[in-house]
Amino acid sequence: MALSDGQDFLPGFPSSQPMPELSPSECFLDCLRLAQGQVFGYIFAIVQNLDDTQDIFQQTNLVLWQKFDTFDGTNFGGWACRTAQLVALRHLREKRRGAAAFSDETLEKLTQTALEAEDLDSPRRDALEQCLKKLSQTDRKLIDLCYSSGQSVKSVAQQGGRSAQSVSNSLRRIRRALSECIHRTLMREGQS
Amino acid sequence: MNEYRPADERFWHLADESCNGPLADDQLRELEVYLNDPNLRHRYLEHCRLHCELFLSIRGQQTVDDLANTLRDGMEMGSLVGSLPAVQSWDNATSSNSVSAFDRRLLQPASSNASVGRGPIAGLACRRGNILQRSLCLAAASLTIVGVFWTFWAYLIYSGRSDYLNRPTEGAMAAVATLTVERECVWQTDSRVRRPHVGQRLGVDDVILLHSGVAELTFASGAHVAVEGPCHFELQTTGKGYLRSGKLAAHVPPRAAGFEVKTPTARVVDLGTDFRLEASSKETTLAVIAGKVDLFPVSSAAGGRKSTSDPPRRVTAGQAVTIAAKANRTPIVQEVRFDAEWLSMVARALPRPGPPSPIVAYQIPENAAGNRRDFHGGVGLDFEVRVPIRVFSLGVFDHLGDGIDSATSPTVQLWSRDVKSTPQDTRDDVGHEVLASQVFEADDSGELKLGHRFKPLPKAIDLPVGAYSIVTYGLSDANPFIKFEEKHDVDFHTDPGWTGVNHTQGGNHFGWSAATNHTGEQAGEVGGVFARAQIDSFYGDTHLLNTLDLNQNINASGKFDISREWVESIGSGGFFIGHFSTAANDSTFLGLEFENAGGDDAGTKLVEVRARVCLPKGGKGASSDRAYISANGNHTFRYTYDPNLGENGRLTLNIDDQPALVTNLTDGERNSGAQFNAFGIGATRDLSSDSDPTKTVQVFIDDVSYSGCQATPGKAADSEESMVRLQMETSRGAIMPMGSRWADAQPGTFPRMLFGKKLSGIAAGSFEYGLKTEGSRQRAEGSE
Repeated sequence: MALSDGQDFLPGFPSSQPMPELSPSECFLDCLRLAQGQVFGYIFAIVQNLDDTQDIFQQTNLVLWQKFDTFDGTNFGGWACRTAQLVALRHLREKRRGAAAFSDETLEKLTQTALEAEDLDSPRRDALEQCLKKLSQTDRKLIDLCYSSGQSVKSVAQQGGRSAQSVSNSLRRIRRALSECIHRTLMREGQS
Repeated sequence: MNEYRPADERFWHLADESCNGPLADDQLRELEVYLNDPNLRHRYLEHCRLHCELFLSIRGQQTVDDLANTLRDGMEMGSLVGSLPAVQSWDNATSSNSVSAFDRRLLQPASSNASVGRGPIAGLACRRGNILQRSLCLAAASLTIVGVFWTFWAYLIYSGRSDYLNRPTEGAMAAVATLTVERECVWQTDSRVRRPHVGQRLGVDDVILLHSGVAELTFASGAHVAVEGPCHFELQTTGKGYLRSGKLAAHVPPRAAGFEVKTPTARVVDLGTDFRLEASSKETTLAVIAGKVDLFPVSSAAGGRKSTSDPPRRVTAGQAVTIAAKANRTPIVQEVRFDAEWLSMVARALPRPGPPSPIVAYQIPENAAGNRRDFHGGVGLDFEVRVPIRVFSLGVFDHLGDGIDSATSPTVQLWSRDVKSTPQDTRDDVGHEVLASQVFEADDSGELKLGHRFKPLPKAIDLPVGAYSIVTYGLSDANPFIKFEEKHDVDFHTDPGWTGVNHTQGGNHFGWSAATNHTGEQAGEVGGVFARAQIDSFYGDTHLLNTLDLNQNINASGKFDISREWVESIGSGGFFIGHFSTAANDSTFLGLEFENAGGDDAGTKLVEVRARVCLPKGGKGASSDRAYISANGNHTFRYTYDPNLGENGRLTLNIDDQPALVTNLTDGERNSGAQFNAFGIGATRDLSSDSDPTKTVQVFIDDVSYSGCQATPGKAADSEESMVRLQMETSRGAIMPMGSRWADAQPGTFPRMLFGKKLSGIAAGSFEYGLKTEGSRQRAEGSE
């Protein structure tokens, strides 16, 4: 079943004509909230580093905020990714000169693909929460440990007396399971 | 789209490694090659997104409290702007140095405008959006304060708490309310929050932030409010407050009607009443003690600030509802049990609480029909009092809720009961003393509540801990009582001759099992092994009396047993028990939908279940919230679909003694043309996301009754009635049902013969009571 089956049940972005109750800043925050994962994930995909991702995301938000008047109201996530691409490129040029990075061609392709992202954040976030609950205790602990502390896989492994490889493998299995679970949940939510 | 091809293993390895740390240059190049494939590109982005969502979810929320504190007082933001360095703007054309005087004022630290009565949150500028401030925020967020700003955004955005953005700013000078009473208050030790004292006049935006204890306020409008810590309650106007979290009790005299309390998920407008509220960011519980209120759920779609356009829901005395936030949708409003114990927590605190609402001991749906016309003797319900109660009135079952028929005048008596030293065995018990008695007449029927008519006692009676019975005499033809039948249609002791399709395909192996008794009692049951399989399969009775549709009542009940959990902690298999359609490519079913869930903290295997109406095309339809039940154990189920409930029909599901799972149909669903020509157990292709014959679950059902069953033709009316359940309102164990009894007996004679089971049995008499610990003093005053 295609994911798009559920599209009509997903909330749309706030429209280009904001509801009268919403001030521009509120509208902006709503938009951003709905697109946060998409944009954040996209930035990470091209810079592959969480610290840089946070910086770039934050700078991107400022630009988006500043230029919100010019947003045409059709695809906030896409607009945000486009903006993030520019910010990221500058960031990469200035801060990570010489570090390994994707070619411009790959970046452009990734951006194009990112613009097509279908899922809005809120349902995904709910799905993620549900799916996290389904993890076994051990898996949940590992995920919490890795993501809450910001520790490297290596140090998590040492702490637990395991090999880095085995921790990597576990993480991979868990992420895959979560990814499957999120898809399934979204599909189901779309149905109901 | 989520299939993992072995050929892509290397790609997945690289994608995953990029989440664990920076990739080496050659790995990056390798990944880049894979990313030429649009499909893999899509998956790579998905993968990164999940990684980031995990990061935001786990890391982000942990810091929310710190950030909230940082932000709440506005100090940081104020001082940050004060020491604003050169603006590093992305686009100088729109960058701004226009920190106007107006903006500066807004950016003052809270402490400096405490004199105008502002609360702790007032100093935060960015939450109030206008164009001027937008540039200001931009400026404020130069790189030197990336940390704070990032966390600010993360807080606002990720937590969805943009209600920070929507607080009134006008009228700060006016006194809104006075703090009248303080009981054992431990105020939250945030030095930036002023700690109010008794007698202090509080202004707009002042906040009551309690760790524990109770604070009472009198609003200028006349409304009395008590809040219990931990709580966060903001004063907004003389007739309005915002309960961000915590418990609140309100007593609103008529002159203050219109008093309004907002919570993150609801807006409650009082119409002159007593009500209780408990709020969190996710859920609000509202209970109305007296009078009525209008309830407006607040949709999170607009960031929690916009009431839904639906008309308000009127909640009246004795009703309680929860309003649960649903991401970007209208919150879900559900009626819940009116819980006197919960109410008591803040109820005691009110200066003038209304009389506590009495609790109806035995509850059945109103307008239920009696089915025992031939018996005129005494029918009794035995119960134990475990926490002292006060009984205010006695009640009698009213057949169809139309008043007591003039041909009868039933008597209800409250007895103390001598248990003869065997409290658990009621068979040898005798009546000790008639404590109260009430006669019901056609022209003096009393007030109808939950299936019974109640008449107040001249004086309330206190029942100490002990054994009692409520006995009803003289019910008969004209006003029959209900005897609940525990009969079932089919017990599978012999082959039911049901039809199976794909029940032995794709790893499935289920049907009639002659020799097993997983569900208990005698051998013979239906079920077996369900595999994760994307095929339609079933084993069921395909010869119903008639094909059912959504304009008819559709009910079923029975037992089921689930064992041998699906293999993975996260799986994607599912199955159903219920009425369904045998048509090809038709996924219609109505009943219970199961899915595997992980274990709970104690390691018990759990299964997700919900009430579900699945419609013919595409699997869409209505579903309730999910409940979790243990995978190893016997359960009972009972579902009732009633086309007359809700706007377009309602499916209600009870599993064991858990709260009902309820789903209401939409107009489109009701008129979808769904037809049900079978009952049984099965799975549709939509319930599994993939096929894997090794991932299985074992399920059995037994002792089932279902609408349309031919096994006992003509019994339909009876089985409808058996769907009506008698509920003992135990108020968390203050009273406990001990069974029921009936015998030829006249008023004043205790019926000695045992009948029936503990909870199911007879609906004949009831009483209204209150917990002695909870405001019964006021009640006594109120009734005298």
